[in-house]
Amino acid sequence: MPLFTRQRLFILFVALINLGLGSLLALNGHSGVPLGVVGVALLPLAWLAGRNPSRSSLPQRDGDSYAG
Amino acid sequence: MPVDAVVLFFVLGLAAGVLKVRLPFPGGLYQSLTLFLLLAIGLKGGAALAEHASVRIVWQSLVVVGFGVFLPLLAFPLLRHVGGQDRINAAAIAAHYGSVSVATYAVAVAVLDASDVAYEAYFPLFVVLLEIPAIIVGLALAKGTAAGLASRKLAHETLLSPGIVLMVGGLLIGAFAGDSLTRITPFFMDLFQGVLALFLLKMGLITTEQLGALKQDGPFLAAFGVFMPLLAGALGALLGDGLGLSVGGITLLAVLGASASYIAVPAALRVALPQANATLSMAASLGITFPFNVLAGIPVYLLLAQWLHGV
Repeated sequence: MPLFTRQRLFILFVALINLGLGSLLALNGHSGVPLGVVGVALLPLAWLAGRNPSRSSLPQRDGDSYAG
Repeated sequence: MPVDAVVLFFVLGLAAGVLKVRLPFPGGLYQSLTLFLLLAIGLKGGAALAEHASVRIVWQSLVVVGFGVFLPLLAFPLLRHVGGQDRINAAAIAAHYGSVSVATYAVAVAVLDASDVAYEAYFPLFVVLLEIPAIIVGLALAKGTAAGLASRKLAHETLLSPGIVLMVGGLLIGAFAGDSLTRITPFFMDLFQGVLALFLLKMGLITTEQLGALKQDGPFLAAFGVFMPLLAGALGALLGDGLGLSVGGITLLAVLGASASYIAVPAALRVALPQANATLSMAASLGITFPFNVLAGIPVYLLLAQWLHGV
């Protein structure tokens, strides 16, 4: 399975876990909003993963990043 | 449901950061607040240790160290095979997630205190113990098992980092000071919540700076930064329940498992793995995992602890 497909499935999985936990908390009378918000925020990231791999906002130096 | 005041200070910092408000927060003040918190947590734990020292704490400590070794081994394959990270960066990020965040621990303690939930007061001992193993495991994952603490400079940076020295120093002072500790209690204990609130205000500002690094490249790291605390927090809670800890203790062990280091580990890896990309680790641990734990995770770990304990 290609790397980006694995990443998208993983992100989707984490989003669903958060949505599920948020719903479970809400159903039991607790605040599930924070987890729900995290789950919703992750959903578009599943789509974004690997969309533009050639562009990077992170430093791509060969080394010594910690010494920066 | 009311939100804890110290958490709201963090939200204020986040909001100020997002709105690009230039809050005049001196760097020296941030360092002073960090120093205060590390010492105060150590002192509190030392005083409790002197009061409750027992063989039980020794074997609990051994199990907790084992937990600290296990967590990076859990994170590493995920980072390699799903995240597509190279060996060095996967090991560096795994080391961050195996270690602990003192600030997250401090927030959890504040939440437990506000909720009147009791916990084992010697927990700062576990915080100190969990700082180190992940660094050694991370290095072994990156360079092979021989790496360990072979370099004298690295051993110094890891075992004698300012965070470790201040917390262990506080623990020892708290353990051996006896009744004279009451003379400094008004400063270190009574002011703790206010100092933590100011510290979190600054942390909110720092978090928004780290989030920028995840805008384009970090969908996986963002998900990883949410998944690891949930998984490690659940494992920590189960372990705490197995160790026979109280509801507060189970919550705190879950928080320690769920949190990721952004002070001790970066300092050690700066020496040991200079080729690792520090931005990746810091963006995930400070930009995602810290706010996730503070805003969403800690109440979930508390509920999990109560459920496990049958409360």
